[in-house]
Amino acid sequence: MAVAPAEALARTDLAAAVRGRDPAVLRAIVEDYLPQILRAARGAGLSAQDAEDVTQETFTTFLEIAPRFEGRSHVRTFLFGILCRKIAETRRGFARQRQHDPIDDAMESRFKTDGSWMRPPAAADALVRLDEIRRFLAECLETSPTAQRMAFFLQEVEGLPRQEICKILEVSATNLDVMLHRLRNRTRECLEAKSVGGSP
Amino acid sequence: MMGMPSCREVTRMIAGGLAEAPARQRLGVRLHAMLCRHCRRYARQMRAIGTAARELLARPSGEHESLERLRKALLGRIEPPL
Repeated sequence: MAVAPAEALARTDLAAAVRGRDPAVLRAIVEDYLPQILRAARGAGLSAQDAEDVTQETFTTFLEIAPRFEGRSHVRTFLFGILCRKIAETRRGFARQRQHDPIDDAMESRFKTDGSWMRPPAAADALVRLDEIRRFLAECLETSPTAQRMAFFLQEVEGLPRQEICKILEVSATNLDVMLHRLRNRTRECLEAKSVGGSP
Repeated sequence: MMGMPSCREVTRMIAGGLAEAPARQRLGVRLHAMLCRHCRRYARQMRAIGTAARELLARPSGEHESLERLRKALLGRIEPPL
């Protein structure tokens, strides 16, 4: 109880303390990472209830397997990894990317063969106005699969390095790129259709 | 535009997340964008989407209540009953 969470997490023997189930350290990890894990679950598109459930499962598993924590990856990576495996259990093909995604064709059709724009992004000022984006973003993100939303969340909101995201999602760097492209382009197309096409 | 990435390549680099791209690539994108208003627009839109996403996803609704319940459920399990 006397140990401050930040202090507990800065210990150089953190992995050993986790393995030994040091209560101060485990408590600090729960306190510190609970909001991040919950937010990631919500960020990937889970409902409030599902996100709460999967967060609880994630930490329950973490506390169970703590004695086997080798410390080869950061506690954060480890926790996000458990979270993604839990989500994958209920969503088949979670991190598997479709060979073919209509958004790839949609993007491809915007370019000429020499790689320059044929149909450039619409000049809608609305698409750079934050209040306009805010109106439709949640809805447009819904059109992407969970794993892509998780990848986007981890990069854009959490600001995690690419390598760590690959480890968490158990995907290659190339695969991660594909996921991020698809999500960003699909979201952009959706926003463009809403603000330019005029149909709300 | 000799040696400069094409619009297609530029959008791919931007959509993958530029922050960690090698300096050479980032420079290529910057130079290209200086000359190409379409790619500038694409980049601006992507940045705006990022900003809006950070706002939207960093504070999900009902977060406090969920966290309260989770803390209660999880912290109680840590101290081994003596």
